[in-house]
Amino acid sequence: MTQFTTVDLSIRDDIATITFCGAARHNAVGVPTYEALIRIGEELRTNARLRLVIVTGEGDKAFIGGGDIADMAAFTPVRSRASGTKMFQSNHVFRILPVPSIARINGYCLGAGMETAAACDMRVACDDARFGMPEVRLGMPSVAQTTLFAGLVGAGRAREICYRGHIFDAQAAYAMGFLNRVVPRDKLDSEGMQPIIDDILAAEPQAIRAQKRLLEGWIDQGVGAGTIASIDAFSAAYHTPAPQRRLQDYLARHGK
Amino acid sequence: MAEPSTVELEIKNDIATMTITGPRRLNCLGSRALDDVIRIGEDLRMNKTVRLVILTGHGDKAFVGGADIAEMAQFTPVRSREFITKVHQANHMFRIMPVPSIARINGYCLGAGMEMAAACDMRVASDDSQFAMPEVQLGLPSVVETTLFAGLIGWGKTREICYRGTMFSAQEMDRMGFLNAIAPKARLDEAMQPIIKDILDADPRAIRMQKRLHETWIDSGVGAGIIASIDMLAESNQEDTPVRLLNEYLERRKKT
Repeated sequence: MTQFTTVDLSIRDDIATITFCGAARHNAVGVPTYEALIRIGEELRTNARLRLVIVTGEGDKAFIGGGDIADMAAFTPVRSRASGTKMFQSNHVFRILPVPSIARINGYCLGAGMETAAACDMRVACDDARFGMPEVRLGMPSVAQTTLFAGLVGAGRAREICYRGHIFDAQAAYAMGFLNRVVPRDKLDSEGMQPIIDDILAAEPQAIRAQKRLLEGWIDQGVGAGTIASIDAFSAAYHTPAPQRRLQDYLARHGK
Repeated sequence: MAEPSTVELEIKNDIATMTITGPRRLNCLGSRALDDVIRIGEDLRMNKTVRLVILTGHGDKAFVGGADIAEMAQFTPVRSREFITKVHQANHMFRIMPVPSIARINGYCLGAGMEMAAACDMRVASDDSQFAMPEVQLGLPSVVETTLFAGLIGWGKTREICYRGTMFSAQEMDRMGFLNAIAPKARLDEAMQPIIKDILDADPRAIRMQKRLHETWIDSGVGAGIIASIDMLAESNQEDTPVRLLNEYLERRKKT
């Protein structure tokens, strides 16, 4: 039986952690992995208590080291279409979840791995992580969530990454805008992830959910439609007592 | 309770300087200041001699410390919709003015202050300025001209700023790409001089056309943006200024 990378879901204190489990193969992803993530995505969509999703890889060598090469080596046009579509759908989960996701990049982040990371809201990496889009070296273009790269790093760097297919380090990934934080491996959770987690958990949950919906809309819509949607979301927030309560707390604390 | 903020306008040497003034409230934007911005904006639209707009905050503590929290703490959904629409309209003034604007960020740049700064063409900040989008910590999503952030700093950093609601330093904002220049507070005006000088050295009509194009390019796709730009080029040659300036340039070059 073919081994493949599985996806583990664990939920604790309103935080869901999704772990790609296949350390022996650098968490390389294939169709069974995509199907598992799609199922997890549909399950998490309806979780009303969920506040944050963390995405990471098993072990200490890789976040996601790429697509399953043995799988891809058996591609026909039809199978590649099916696989690529499913890969897209699985990464797309992070855009349809109701709450933000942070990619906790604990090692190699290559090919499909960079696409998964790009689909997450934020990316935090250990300083020995390695990045790259090697597809062109294997006869394929970089696709699917690669479309999101330019929005993170600009069109010039996105093209360079895809055309060169080279491996680059976490400092380069941070400098170009792909990462929100780079920290030493032993500080990945305490200094990389925790400050962001703490801030998100301190915020009003419904405001974070509204922000998530807006941010996803803004990527897909023009500025005009995005502005209209945001005005609608602002007044929607006032249909609960949370803004008045938090604003009045603020005024009380700051003596106005 | 301190007086609501107002906006002061001074026009000198073809530069219009708008100063948000609310001394004991961090120059925060309430309905009165927003109305002032809109009124001044509509006047400046018709002003044929102004060549540049500078937006700044009164005093040395704040550029704009956000929207007026005392107002916002009382909102109903209907009132919140009215207010945030007005915030958008005020920000939008900087996009429809016929000439470029520079946000002279002299301190706290928070919430609606960051949105207004993003709506300006360029941003120069003192190195002790601090930036934040604290809305989610107050139960609200960040909205309206927040849609412009990604064009300056990318989606990854935009999401982090919006989800965390915490302060970022001027140095961090500069690294992200939000600022055009950064300087110690005592040298802030000096740091703006190169930009101001270059704009005033250029042909005024060309600057006005460039402004319209940059706004069009934000709102249209690349195809429509290119078409609009070629129309503008032809329009610029309906007066003899480009041909005259080009020939002067050729004469100067022949002499060296």
